[in-house]
Amino acid sequence: MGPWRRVSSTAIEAGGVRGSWNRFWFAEASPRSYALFRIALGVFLLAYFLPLLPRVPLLFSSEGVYLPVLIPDFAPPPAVAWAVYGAFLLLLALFTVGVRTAVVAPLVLGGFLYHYLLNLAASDTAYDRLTGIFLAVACLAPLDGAWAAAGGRRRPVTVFAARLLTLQLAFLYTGSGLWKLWNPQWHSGGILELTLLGPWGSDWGRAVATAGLPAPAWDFMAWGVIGFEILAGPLLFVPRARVVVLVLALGFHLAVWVFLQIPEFLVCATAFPLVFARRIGARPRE
Amino acid sequence: MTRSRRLFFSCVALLFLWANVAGILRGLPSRPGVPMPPGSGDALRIFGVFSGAETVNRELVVEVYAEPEAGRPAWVRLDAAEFVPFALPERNRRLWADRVVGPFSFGDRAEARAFFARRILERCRRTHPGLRATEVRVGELTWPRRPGPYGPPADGPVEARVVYGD
Repeated sequence: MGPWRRVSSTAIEAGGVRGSWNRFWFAEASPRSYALFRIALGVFLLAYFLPLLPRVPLLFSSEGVYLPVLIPDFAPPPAVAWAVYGAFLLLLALFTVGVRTAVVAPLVLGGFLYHYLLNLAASDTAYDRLTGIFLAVACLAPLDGAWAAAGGRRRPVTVFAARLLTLQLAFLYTGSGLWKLWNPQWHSGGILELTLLGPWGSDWGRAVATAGLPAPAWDFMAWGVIGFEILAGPLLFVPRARVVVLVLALGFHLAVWVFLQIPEFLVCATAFPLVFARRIGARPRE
Repeated sequence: MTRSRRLFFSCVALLFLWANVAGILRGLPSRPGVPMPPGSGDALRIFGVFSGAETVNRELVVEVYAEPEAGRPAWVRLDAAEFVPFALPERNRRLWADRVVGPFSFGDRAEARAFFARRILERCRRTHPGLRATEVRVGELTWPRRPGPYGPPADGPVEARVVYGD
């Protein structure tokens, strides 16, 4: 546990609704789960932003082609754009190795929002929004309690941020499944076939779409996606089902990458360690 | 953890739960209109991915009006990836310039598109000075989705129209 404080047990051990609420949100958590999340999210963000390196002036400077969202046009000259981008990469590296994350995580969120609102938001994608949500929650999390190059001030390691992101995963999966269930177009597998033949479809996806699968097979896949997504959310809270759900979810995101060319939804996998963040059987102490 | 911190984090948790449930209920066909916490409406548009079964492909292209020169068409089509270096679906989305939200951004879609077209034209003048471009337009190619390699068919019907320009 190192320099990290234990969580106060008074509220945790209270009875009734208040006690249950406090146990759910504020029980002691494993700092290693947070460390795994920090490293995974940092690597994901580096993999997302490093490929933009050759295009910084085009994407983020006044000499480029950009479309600000929610904010006025403040694109700086190329030299400043390079400096901001470079500083952001440095912050991402510090975040990943765990240097003063209580300070660095909000700065990383600021750097992400800067680039996102200046130009990236124009893509209007769910995965970019998820990345922003994950980073916002990371600012509330004790990320440098384990495997960190330089930890900061002692903070209690509670399960709070892990609960938020586990719930976000659950809402994402179940919510997406419900949206599909309520959408008549998803009641037939044709939507999957047509999507693979569209601009999102990779060569692998187009190969599947042209393989001549019968309509019932497409229907089965569409209902399979709906069923999996709706069930995945609640099953994340069933200890015996968690590992199976997460393995299937990882396979699902990998399939989305291979067949639809969208690796960005793998951001969800960065939060998988947090599903296991609560210390089972640990006795909180003052 | 102090009581005031627990109270603060409990409020954060309640707002978080409210925003997600309201965001999911937006997908109901009857759209019950559950209000969302301020500022969370756009951030939680994450549930309705791939919600439409389009039967046609739509691809946006960039063309500039170049100084007339023998053997060159007046409108020269440029590689859109040169200006919008993203994978094709994202490139298309960005070229639509449809995401106009917030009080500090653009007043409407037309304003956003005019801004974007101006950015493309200025960039083109910098990277292709030989064209001496004076105008830019973003057009849409449409063709039926069908098996085979992706792209407008050479032998099939392709509709073209101008979406916006500057």
